[in-house]
Amino acid sequence: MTEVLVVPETLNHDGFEALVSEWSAAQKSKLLIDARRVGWVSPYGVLGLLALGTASRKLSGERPWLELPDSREVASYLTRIRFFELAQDIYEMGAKVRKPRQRVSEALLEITPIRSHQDVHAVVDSVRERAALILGKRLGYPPPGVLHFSVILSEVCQNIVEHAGAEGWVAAQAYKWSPKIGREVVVIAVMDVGMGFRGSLAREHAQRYGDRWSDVTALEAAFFSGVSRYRDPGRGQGLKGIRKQVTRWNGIVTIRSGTAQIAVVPDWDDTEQVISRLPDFPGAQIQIVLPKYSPPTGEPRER
Amino acid sequence: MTDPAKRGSARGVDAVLHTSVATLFSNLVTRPTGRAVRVAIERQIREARGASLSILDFSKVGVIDYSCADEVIAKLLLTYGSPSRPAQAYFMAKGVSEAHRGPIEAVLNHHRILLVALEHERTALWGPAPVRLRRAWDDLDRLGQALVDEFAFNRGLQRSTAVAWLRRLVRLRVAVADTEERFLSLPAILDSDLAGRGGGRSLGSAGTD
Repeated sequence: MTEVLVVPETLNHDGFEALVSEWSAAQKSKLLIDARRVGWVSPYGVLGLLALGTASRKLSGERPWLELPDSREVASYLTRIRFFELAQDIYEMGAKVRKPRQRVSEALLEITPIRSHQDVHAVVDSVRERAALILGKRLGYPPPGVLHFSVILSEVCQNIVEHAGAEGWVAAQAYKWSPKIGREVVVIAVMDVGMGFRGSLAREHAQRYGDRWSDVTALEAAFFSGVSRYRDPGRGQGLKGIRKQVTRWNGIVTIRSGTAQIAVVPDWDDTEQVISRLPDFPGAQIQIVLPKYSPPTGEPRER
Repeated sequence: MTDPAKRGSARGVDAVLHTSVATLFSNLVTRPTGRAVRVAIERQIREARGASLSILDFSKVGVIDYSCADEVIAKLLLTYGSPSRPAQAYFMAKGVSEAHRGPIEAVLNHHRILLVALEHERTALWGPAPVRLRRAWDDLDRLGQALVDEFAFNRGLQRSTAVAWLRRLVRLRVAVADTEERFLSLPAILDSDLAGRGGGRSLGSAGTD
């Protein structure tokens, strides 16, 4: 029997969560993902579709069917950001795969699969010019900020290679974050459907936590205390560094893994800092939102 | 590294190794990249066959992330700062931009280790140094090289206290003991890195912990 999951009209962070909720309640038989009514997608939402399809295929052994968005605008965006190129290995789709006419879209970073450290290098090498243009010119970040952005990208991508045990994807885009602050932001989305933070840290750390060991404690241990699955005492600094840098920039980081999500939230957003008992979903899903640059306290403001 | 480090000799060490860390990669990201860079530096130190000061030149590095900073800088400082170090080696960073400094300082703080850096032709001590230790390093750095009595006089210390401070700086690998009595800041070694110095000198016993 084929079950139908309807993708919300707005496929952003909340839209993906709604979709996961539907997916979690489904029987994991043959799925039809109905995206026909989608009118807007964020990088997080797009990667969410890839992640959901991959997770479904892993469970049922069958490729789910994807009904493509009716909106030409959305379909065109999905083409430009390379969604279809990657989705053809994950979904059955009625339409032919559309390849972008030009290699480079207006996105800061098109969807890029992350399988190895070489992929991380490629992301950092390729994003620099566009990061300078978008972060520097449009969002006012100073030149060192553009390099810090590359460090953030590098570390979140390495998180997949080092901890997921599975392939993942990264994408980044600048757009108007109208519902929240009504101004332009840069959003980085990173997802995998691997073992998740709890799975990654369990062998080394679960015993110490005893009954308290959960997706929430695993996320907190990694994100706030820099705990890692490796015994090397130098490990675990990347996520801590990301948290500090994004906080300095007044941005948001959310990390969802398993049944939990933790977040670093500035005063302009109302995302809850810790959410537990979410519908279970494999791997880790990270979103970083960077607003227009405003100098941290004590740093001179440019005129 | 594909191009060998420039090698000089100087007071306090047998060799000064000038190493461009961006020879293999312009962006120092990921742990495997960091390992490759570190292994190349360690090979240069081995080949120096004596006490050495490695000048790690970051001027051609685009991005350095936390993982790479840990693999290159932290692991070098920890390995050659431990009592079981494979060789007498000291390290200084140069050409480090503001963007590099964040990840480097983060790993120094994480491991509680110190690094001497050359910033815009000025020397600085990076890492979590307590105020008094930083003052001691500043004083030695200002003097360049100092006999124990000179350092004690300058800081208004008893001789025994001055010796303790200087030995502590050596133990932390941010100064070198040229003899039992004479101590050098790392930038002073660099200043003496001139041709015709006759191969430099070995470290004195006070510098070997």
